[in-house]
This record gives sequence, structure tokens and C-alpha cells, in this order.
Amino acid sequence: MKCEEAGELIHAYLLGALDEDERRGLEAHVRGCPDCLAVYYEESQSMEMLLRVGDPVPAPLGLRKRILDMVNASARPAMRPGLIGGPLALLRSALRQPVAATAMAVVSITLVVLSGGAVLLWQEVNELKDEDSRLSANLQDQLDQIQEENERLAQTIVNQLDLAYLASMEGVSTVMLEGGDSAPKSTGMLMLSPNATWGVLLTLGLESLPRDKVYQLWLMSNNIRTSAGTFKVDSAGQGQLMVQGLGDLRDFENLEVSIEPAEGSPEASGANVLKGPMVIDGSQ
Amino acid sequence: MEYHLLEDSELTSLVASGDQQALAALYDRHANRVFSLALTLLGDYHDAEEVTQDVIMSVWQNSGAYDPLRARFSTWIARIAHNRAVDELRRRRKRAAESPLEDHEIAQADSTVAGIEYETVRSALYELPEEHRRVVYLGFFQGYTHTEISKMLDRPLGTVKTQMRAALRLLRDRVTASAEEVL
Repeated sequence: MKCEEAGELIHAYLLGALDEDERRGLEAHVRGCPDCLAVYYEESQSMEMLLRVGDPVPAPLGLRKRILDMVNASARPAMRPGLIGGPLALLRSALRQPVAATAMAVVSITLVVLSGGAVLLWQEVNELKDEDSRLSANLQDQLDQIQEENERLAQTIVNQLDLAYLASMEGVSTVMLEGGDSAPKSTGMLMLSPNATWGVLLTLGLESLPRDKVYQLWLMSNNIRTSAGTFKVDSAGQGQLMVQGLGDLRDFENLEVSIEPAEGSPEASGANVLKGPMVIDGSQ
Repeated sequence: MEYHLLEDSELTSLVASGDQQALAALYDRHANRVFSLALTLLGDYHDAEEVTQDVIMSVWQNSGAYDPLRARFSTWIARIAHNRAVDELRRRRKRAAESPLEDHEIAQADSTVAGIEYETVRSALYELPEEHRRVVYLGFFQGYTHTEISKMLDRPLGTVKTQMRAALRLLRDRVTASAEEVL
């Protein structure tokens, strides 16, 4: 590769927009070319800014430990073949020797004498182990809850970025939903992108659900229900859901939100909390 | 040894010699940023978690490849994270091409990254002309190659390259101007 070609590719490289062969070719050239390396350093300043996009989101709980466990496992030296079964093999070998057998007999008698106290100690240790297990289970449960909340907050940030982007676009339209029989005070609004291929559902006034339940959005056309995804609401009753991948959303006739099991449902089975026709309220 | 007091370059040297506590210190310092970048690009919590794990394991296995004279460690590790996330975006596209059912996943990633500018780097990106901004989105945030972008936008490859160069230079100027404002 010549410097001229490298100069043309460096910016695409910095954006991560080269294919594998181009990337390798450029890296090989830049490593051996001080002039192109200098250009690369100069141009890479702007990349540092792009690499810092987005609000910091905490890495998942437990990831640190999992990685360090993997590292620990990968760093553990492989056991040498000669040591496999080491202690037992050594013991068996020793018992074949008369002197060693006598020594083992002495050890055995000593163990029998000590065993009475050992049983009591063993029981105490077991009780402590049980208590430890109970505490560990409680702690794990709390960690699971924190992890779940962490995931929900991270997803909320992602949804809000989508919403912010949508709100900044021209030609956005809205569809209003009203509370169903089981949640008459709740309201909802679906904001549609200009070409109506995606949108964001916003809800207000819905109750927080237990862990085994979610809200599920349904889009209906010709009496056929299509699931558009599930969501939960925060303690203030506000929820968001990204709706996409279903073609032109204006082709649907009605919307409904129902309460379903946590993994979502293939058919609407729970209480209907929001509903409305796909009537476009207008665009901004 | 008080690892949290050490510089990144010192920690990477220790990691290269197999020091797990040094890796833990680097994790504590950089994992949130790596995870955030991956989440921003991929829009999926678990995929971002996998990328973060992959990146930290890569640091463990290849920390000797890091040269402190060439880049800050934070840039180096973010670059690895970006490459991994882009690889994942390209894998998704490939899977989607083989199985149309996964279009939904792709659409989610695309729209998610499109929202980034509004949040953190909006001022700098907003200053870019629309055609420049699009090539930055498609290349950096969505992992398309410049050849693919050329076809998607129906622009000559040379034009796409020129727009990428111009976009990055405008961003750099913006960064420099911001730094001078701070001083």
C-alpha cells in the first residue's frame, strides 16, 4: 500500500468503516511508515471524542467477579501428570511398607480418640454452614433484585435516547390511548416517526407490576393481534416501549395494552389497561 | 501494593506479567465506560455485557500489545470495545440477511445509536453538515464499511471518503475549540 492510498483510508479506519482486508493492509502500512503514523495520531483526536459518547452506565453487577474467575481459571497452572492422584497414590504406596503401616495404625488410634470431640465440632460447623447458606441466599436474592433494577435503568436510558431522537425529528405524529376497564385513569401516547416504521409508546398512570408480570402492547389489524413488545413501569407509573420491526405502523387499526406473564404471551390473556384506535393526531 | 494509585501504563505492565489484581484495578477504572460504549452501539444490555467481558479478557491476554507512547489506555480499550461492538453489529446484519425474522433486532440497534447525538456529543455532531453526519452514523455507530455506505447513499466511494475526512476534521476542530474554551 502506498502513502496516498493509506491517507485516503485512515479516516474510514478511524470510524471503523474498513473491511477486514483493508484494515489489515492499512495497519501493516502505518506500522512501518512514520509519516502515515503521524497523520494517524493527529486525526485520531476526533475519534477520542466519539469513543466517549453516551452517558456512563454501570457495568452489570457480578461481571467483575465472573471475569476474574475466568482469569483465575485460565491462569491456573496445568497439573503435571506425575502428580495426578498424588496424595492417595502416595498413601497407597506407603501402606505397602511395614514401617509406614505401623505409623498409620498409630494415627488411626489417635483419630478414634479424637473423634468424640470432632463429632461435636462437626455438628457446630454444619450449623454455621447452614446459617451461612441462608445468609448467602438472602444476599443473592438482593443482588438479583439490584441487577434487575440496573438492567431496567439501563434500558430506560436507551429508550430515552430513542425518544429524544424521535422528538427532535420533523414530521412526528401521535396516536392517543385511553385507560381500559381495569385502569381507567391511565393514558398512553404512541409517537410515530415520520415514515411510521417505528415509534415510542409512552404511558402514564399504570400500576407497578409484580416481578412475574409485564405490560404487553398489541397492534391489531383484521382481527389479528400482533405483539409489539413488553415493558414495565416505574414507581411513578411511567413506562416506555420502542415499537419497530412491524412495517408501517399506520397499517394497523387498533392498539391495546394488557397485563401478561413476565416472559410475554403469544395471545392477549390478561386485563386490558390501555386501548385506542390507530388515529393519527397530526404531525409537528 | 496500592493498585488504585498506579497509572494505567503501570497496571498494564503488571497485567502482562500475570497480575490479576492489576487487571481488577483496570476493570474498576474502565469497565463502566466500555460497557456504556457497547450499550450505546448495540442497544442491548446482555450483548453489551458480553462485549465488556470480551474486551477485559482481551486486555488480560494481550496487554503486552498496548504501547503507552501511542495512545492513552482509555482510548486503546475504548477502541477495542468499538471494534467488538461493530463486529457484533455486522454479525447481526449477516444473521438478519440469512433470517429475516431478526430484522427487528437490527432496527432496534440502528435507531438506538441514532439517538446518541442528542445526548452527549450533540453540539459537535450538530455542527456537521447532514451528509457528513450520515457517514459518521453509518460508519461509526452502525458499523457499515465505506464501500457499503457508498452503495447505501448512492454516492461515489471517493465522495464518502472525503466526507469522512471532513467530518472527522470538523469534530477535531470542535474538540480543540472546546479545550481552548476551558483554558
